[in-house]
Amino acid sequence: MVHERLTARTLVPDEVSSDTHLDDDILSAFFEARLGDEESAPVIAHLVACAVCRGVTAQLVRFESELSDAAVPVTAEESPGSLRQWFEDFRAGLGSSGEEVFAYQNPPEDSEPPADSDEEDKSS
Amino acid sequence: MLLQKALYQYNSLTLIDNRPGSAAISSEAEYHQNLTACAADFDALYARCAQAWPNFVVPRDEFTGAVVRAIEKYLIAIAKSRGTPSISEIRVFIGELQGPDIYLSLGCALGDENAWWQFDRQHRAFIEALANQVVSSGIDANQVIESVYGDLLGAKTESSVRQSKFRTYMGRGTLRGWLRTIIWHTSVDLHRSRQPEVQLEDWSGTGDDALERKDYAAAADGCEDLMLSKVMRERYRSATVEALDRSLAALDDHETLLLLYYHVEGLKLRQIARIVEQPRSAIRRWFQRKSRRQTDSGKSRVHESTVMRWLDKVYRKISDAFQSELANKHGLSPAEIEICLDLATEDLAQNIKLNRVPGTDEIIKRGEAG
Repeated sequence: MVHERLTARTLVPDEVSSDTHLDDDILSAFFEARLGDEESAPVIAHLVACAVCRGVTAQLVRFESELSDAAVPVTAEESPGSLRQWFEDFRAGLGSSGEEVFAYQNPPEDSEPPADSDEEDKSS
Repeated sequence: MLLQKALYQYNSLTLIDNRPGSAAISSEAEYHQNLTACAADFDALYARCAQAWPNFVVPRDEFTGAVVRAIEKYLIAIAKSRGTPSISEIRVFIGELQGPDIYLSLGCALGDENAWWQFDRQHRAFIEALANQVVSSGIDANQVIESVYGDLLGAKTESSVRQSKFRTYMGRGTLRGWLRTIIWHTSVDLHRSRQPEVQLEDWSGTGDDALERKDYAAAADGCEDLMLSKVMRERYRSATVEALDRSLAALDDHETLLLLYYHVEGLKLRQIARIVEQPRSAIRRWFQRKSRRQTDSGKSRVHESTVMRWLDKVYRKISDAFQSELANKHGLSPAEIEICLDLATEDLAQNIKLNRVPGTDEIIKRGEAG
């Protein structure tokens, strides 16, 4: 149902006329992270609402990554059951305090100022 | 007048609210004043580009007009919440533009042979490599290349003037990035012209993981039906849908887009990481601001685990809102909330044994009896 409700939040492609889609210039600028906050906010809002444009950006990512991903192994955490597993974790703590439930989650970013943001990832 | 024309032209392109912006129009004089104050920046950029491409000349007014159009598209039409761009904002914007790429694309749009020679020399191999990468069955890479070059040359004419696609390049992103998008779109168009009924996901063959994810719903249905009767499912379904919709609606667009990329578009974590790996990525900056993990992130990469952490935060937010909604608005007990959790996540289930909380079966029996 999460998938269904997420999808329901977006417009059906046919409801969006072709001349109201993001153009190639905006799509490529967004893809290259060239847009400032004020520029990207309406673009992101459009990508949330428009399945066509979001699909284009998703395909561009795949297109781009195909060039270099051949040798990259798929890690265990690529399992698409992550959300399900998270809800399982949540369920395990249902009825107890929220802190106990979420203590199971990691890393506790908001309460633990690390030495750096992403460096820890590099060791993985 | 120029500003009004630009607003009209670009609002229709960008899905931005295109009602007459009286505030924007009233500040037209201020905008032109600010633009004039940046004349030295225009000159400097033009000089730099002319130096980069000494073999051909793009008239100064053509170049200036293209930069102004880019300013009006991005700083005014798209970022309209910002108001009239200030002098410093215009200067920063001009500094960020891919000037030499704009100059080259204008030279080509004007039909300058030397410009075309330079373009071909710099980008032909790139276009061919991408075309070969993107082709699918039934389409020859040469067809893609020919079509792309046709659009760039201007196969269509308007008032006897060739309408080169180069005119739509604004220089906010790189020319290569723009070409990549053009090539991808051209390939899709060619493919559709042969098989109009084929969906985007089916075309590239790269959407397999997304399709696999959607299969989970079917796989989950069997065991789910054993656990919950149809009657009970219907009883809690409306509450679940309402609570879930409210929880999702409470998310920021950045969070929703992340969920959509992962769960609906089926992008893998490392592919999402690729979208946000640029330090200037809007999604990356948003999550870093929210996480209070303010660091000099310019040099650090975004890895899959970072994206997973962001997703975790979004899940937590959804779950908090979901639980609160069911408990406070619908008055459901923890056991009933668990049933709703089952319903909410059934499309994500994949042979995971559910840990039911005590009392759930009793509730189901009572519900069935009622």
